[in-house]
Amino acid sequence: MSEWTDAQLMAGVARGDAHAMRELLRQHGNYLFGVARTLTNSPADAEDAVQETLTALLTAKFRGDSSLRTFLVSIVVRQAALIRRKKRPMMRLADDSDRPQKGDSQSATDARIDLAALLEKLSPEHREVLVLRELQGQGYEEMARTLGVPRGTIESRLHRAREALRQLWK
Amino acid sequence: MSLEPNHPLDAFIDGELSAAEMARIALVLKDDPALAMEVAELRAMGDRLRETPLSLPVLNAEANWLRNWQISRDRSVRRLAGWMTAAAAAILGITLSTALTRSAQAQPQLADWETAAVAGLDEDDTPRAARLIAVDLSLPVTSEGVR
Repeated sequence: MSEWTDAQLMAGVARGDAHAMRELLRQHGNYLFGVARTLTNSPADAEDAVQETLTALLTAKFRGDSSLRTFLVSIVVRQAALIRRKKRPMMRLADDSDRPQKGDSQSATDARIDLAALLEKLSPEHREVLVLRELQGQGYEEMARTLGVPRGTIESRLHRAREALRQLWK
Repeated sequence: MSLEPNHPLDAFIDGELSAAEMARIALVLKDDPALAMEVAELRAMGDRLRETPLSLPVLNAEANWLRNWQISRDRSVRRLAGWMTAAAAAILGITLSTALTRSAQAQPQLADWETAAVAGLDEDDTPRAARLIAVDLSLPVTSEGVR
């Protein structure tokens, strides 16, 4: 069990404490990557999104009105959007499974469907709202703040995202 | 009783409605099996999303992230030191400039008679010189001269 509270972790990271960053990565690194991967076009872009998120923490202000994970996810969602805007959409690379990944086993790779694969046919905006709502459990107001859009936009996007997913899974 | 055709069930599933609205829709769903089925499908979709594993990063991703974060951290410290040095130099420059300006302004103004003395007076200017001195000494001056 970690000895660090969320506030202590963030204070350490903001001070430039490498121990704090190591602990933050241990607690949240994989999760942040997983979220970023659902919102970007490649594992490399997802890694970049996480990297930009960590750099942003040097100056970010964590007020403690949400969990640290929620705070981090909000930043990674925005960073993923910035990366998508900078780059042209890419075909999903066949070498995604070529690089050794944590937890790989023969049976896992045979039938591996991760969330990124499940959502890849949806638009980035639809993926964003589904990730924030279903994974993070964010309310509509919080999602509106995270994505910088009105609450009404969140409601309609979420509705359309779910409809799109239903059609895909039929 | 029925829902409006375009009423989103999403807000109901997500608990984003008032208690009264939630209760109203719950009642509607009791009498509308098709709508209840739709709600169940949407809930199941959410469950499936939550149960699906997230992608994992490559084996050395954490080490890379930490190393690059340290590089960014060190760069921002150097940048901050640079800005502080530039700011200190600017403050010093402004302070020195202000001090020199005040020093120049603080030089005593010469009295008119002193200026005249330096510039020199004509022989006929003795009364003028006397008047200038009198003014400086605050002595009464009349048209006939200094009293």
